[in-house]
Amino acid sequence: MGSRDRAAIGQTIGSVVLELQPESVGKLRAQLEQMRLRQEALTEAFGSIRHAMPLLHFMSVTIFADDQYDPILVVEVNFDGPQGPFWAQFEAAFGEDLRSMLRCGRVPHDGRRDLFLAVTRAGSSLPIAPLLEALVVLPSAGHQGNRGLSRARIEVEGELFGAVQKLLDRGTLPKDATQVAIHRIVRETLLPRFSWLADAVPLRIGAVESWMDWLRLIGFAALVLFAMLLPGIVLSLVIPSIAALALLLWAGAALLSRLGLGLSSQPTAAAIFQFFKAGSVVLVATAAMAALCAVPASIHDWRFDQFGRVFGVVAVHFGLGVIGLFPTVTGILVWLRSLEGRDAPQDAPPRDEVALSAMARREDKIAQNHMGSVVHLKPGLLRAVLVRVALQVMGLVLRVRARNGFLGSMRTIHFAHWAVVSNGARLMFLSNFDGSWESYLDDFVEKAHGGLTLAWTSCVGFPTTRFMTLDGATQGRKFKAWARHSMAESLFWYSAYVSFTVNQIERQARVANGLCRVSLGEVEAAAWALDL
Amino acid sequence: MGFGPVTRPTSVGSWRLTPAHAKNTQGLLASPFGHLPEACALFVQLSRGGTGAWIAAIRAACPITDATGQATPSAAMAFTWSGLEAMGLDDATLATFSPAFQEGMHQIDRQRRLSDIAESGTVLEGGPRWGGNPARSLTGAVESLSTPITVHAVLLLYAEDTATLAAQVVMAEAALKTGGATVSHRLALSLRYDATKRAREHFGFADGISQPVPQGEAIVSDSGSPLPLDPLHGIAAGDVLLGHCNAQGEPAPGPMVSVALCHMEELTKQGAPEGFRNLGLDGSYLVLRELRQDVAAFWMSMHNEMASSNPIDAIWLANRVVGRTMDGDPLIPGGTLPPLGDDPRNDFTYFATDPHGLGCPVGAHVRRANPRDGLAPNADSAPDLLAAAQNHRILRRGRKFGPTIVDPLVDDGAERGLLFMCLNTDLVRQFEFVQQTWMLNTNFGTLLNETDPLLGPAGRFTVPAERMRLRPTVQTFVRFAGGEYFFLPSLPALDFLQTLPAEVVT
Repeated sequence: MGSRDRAAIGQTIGSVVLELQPESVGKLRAQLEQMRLRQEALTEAFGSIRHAMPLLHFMSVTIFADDQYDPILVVEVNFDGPQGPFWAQFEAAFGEDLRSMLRCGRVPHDGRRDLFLAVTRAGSSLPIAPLLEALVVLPSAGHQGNRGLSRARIEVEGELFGAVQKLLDRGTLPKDATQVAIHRIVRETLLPRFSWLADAVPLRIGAVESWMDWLRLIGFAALVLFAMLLPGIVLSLVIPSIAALALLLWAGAALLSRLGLGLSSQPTAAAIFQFFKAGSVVLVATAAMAALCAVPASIHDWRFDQFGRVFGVVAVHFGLGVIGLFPTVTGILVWLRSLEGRDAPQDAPPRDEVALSAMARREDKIAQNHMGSVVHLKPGLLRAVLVRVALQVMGLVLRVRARNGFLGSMRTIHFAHWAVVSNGARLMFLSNFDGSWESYLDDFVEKAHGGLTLAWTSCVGFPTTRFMTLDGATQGRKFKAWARHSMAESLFWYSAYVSFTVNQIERQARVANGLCRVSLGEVEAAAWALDL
Repeated sequence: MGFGPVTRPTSVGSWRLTPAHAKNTQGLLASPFGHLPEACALFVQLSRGGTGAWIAAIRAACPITDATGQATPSAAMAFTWSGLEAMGLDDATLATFSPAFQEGMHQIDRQRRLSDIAESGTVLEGGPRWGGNPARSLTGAVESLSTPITVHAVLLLYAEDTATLAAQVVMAEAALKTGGATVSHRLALSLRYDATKRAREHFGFADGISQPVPQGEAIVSDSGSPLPLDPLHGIAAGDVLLGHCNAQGEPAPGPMVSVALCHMEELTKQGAPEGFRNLGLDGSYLVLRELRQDVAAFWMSMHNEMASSNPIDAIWLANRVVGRTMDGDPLIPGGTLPPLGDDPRNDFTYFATDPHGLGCPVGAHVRRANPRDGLAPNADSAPDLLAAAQNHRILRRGRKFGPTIVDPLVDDGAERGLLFMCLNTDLVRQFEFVQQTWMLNTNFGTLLNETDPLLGPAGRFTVPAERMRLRPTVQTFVRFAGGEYFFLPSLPALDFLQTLPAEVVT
């Protein structure tokens, strides 16, 4: 029954974002409502979507209204593999409904104009998929709970899990069977039905994908470091080194006194260790960059002493670049703190009772829920840079560090992502998560407030923050009120597996992986049996 | 954390309020009135366009107890949102109450979240019998289910014995009558002490064992000294007392009334925005749920599932359904945690000693109701998970109603059960979270498609075991028969409410 993919399949997170003609919003909402009711009325609710789009995990359609912007339509999709094949499936699933939805959009006035007009023209039968792909906004930062598990694999492993439960509940296993024996009996019984149990367990994250995650992170970190070294390097190029050194130290010291960090408190041993660890990483990375810069100078007639001479000169400039980190970082912090000190939070956003009850009406019907939010970004150069760097770093770090779905001790997110929309003026957050919205936000408040604060601190009205990560989301009631206010009801929402939580998907994957093994040792079998 | 017992057991009632707050706070908040085993709940309905005058009549007959010490007999009083409205509280003030309280327990989206769904079989046949029946909504909430009996307020009377209680009830009813209020529903309540003075619920289990201990500036130990921090049971005082600092580091938001409507200096302006008096300070929200228990179904189910006529086997399974023994001792792998003196132990965590539920099943009633650190994915996060769980605790004040069953295996058709009562300041983050995210969550912990085996609908219940888990089927034992959210005002707030309807002071 069913089959499991042989190779690692990555998932894609993306959203089609389309500005709407305000007059057409009513028509579009009515159409979405019709589509939802049609799907819910099927014998198998949402069955036609389930079958037409076997790559799709979650999908949401939301219309975000705003006092300062015309409404936008956001179609969020989380699916297996690359975009091309998926959008073709998507078009096949929704057909002309899709074209009539797109006609509610405003004609883009950039390079996508002609394509949009051609696809939405009356009587047009041109394929829609290319337009959808052209309208896609990719996340600045995304997170995935069951990374590398395709929809097909989740479904087939879920089926296997159900079959195992049924077999055990029948109570026909010998009363005194050991866990090793139970594993063997279960495997033998179910192998004919699930022939893929004979195959090797497929990788979840391929080697290339894994290396690319690391390379992207290291590359971006190097870029940020280089940008921060620049003030010192440039200064050392225009004035004598010794003067540059004096100037940088003076500037750093002056800025530090402005920052007024609570240096009266004793730094802990762990903090000192962390400082030196980070310091040595910076030094090694800088030395590597200096060496890289010295290579072209000596490449012509390669001689080591030539390289050594050039490296020495370059190293002085980069060394001053490192010294320059002191005033640069301190300067950024002084600037940031002065902004944070004067931030104007919106602790009591107006309650739109109609919108709130519309959201409540749609929530808590299956194991998961959906959240879509759009907020304005705070103005100013520093905020514009910091929010982008923060989201990039967060996204890249999550790719290498959160591969088992845990954010700290929290594992309730199937797919979530942030993306900048409206030409960099607004930040959109879309999430498919387990449990109630209240419990999800409580998880944020209690277990993942640092990251949440980092991502949202640059948005208008967010609760007061220090150093971009402190306070902020820990102010639970204010944070929840702010987040709820930023949301719009999910007009059309689809989940491919309505009763599986992230934890359950991992659990059934462990059970399946155990059953792929011909036999288990005593300790392995005991661990395997815990998941049954 | 994580090495089993971490604190000395805290017996219920070992904390009290500082005098400044104790004189303003209803005694029910600081004490379950354990010295008064008999009680009665009178559910009051007011006529529309009524006033607060009846409150004064009641207080003259049965003074509402404050939290300064033990009073015999005692009384407590709380109001539904529709009750406050019926007494003529103005819309502006009504809108300052928590949205959940305004909408009430029977709002349709809330019913779904609380799993009060008729189809699941956990609601009394014909639907819950009583609720606040708010006639309108200031929050935009659509439809509420309306119940046959309307409740605007609840008067809780406590006495040492049934004779004293009966006299109290007669006086209270007379006062209600003169005030123009009627009793729309009543429940005779008891702690159901056994011979050793241990409170037991109808299935036979010791109850009310684990309670949070509020901590904060206004709370001291019984001897008046500051209360040491308790990582296992300590919660922010503001999680049970409005206006005090809560788990989120701010004064728990409560209702406020415009100074133009209230000139009573006793109702402080402290903690209220400019132009308002603090109507919430030292008050709380009280959740009431009448839960009918089917004792015969419970014990028959235990016997049937164990396919044994030996009561030991049925008790073994019942213990796992509850998560403690009938005497209240916690289950641990291989046995139970023996009591310390007379009291069952409550100073334990789950992660270090029983992460997989080999002693106390992950889905057992008490482990769902307060998972402590049991939801931690690894040892490093256990302290954080324990701290997170503390943000959702409730102070329980429940009592039992109905006669004791003669033979627990034979249904006698009598109505019996628990009047679940709990106090909290954030209905959504505390009571509703416990009910939705822990108790009746079909995906609690690592479980799939099962809910609380005691409270939830019939279904499977996973009992982890040494070699291979058991998965017995449990039936429906508890049915929701009525309930509502109430505002338990401070005594100064009560003084104000009895002057209703409020008129602008010129």
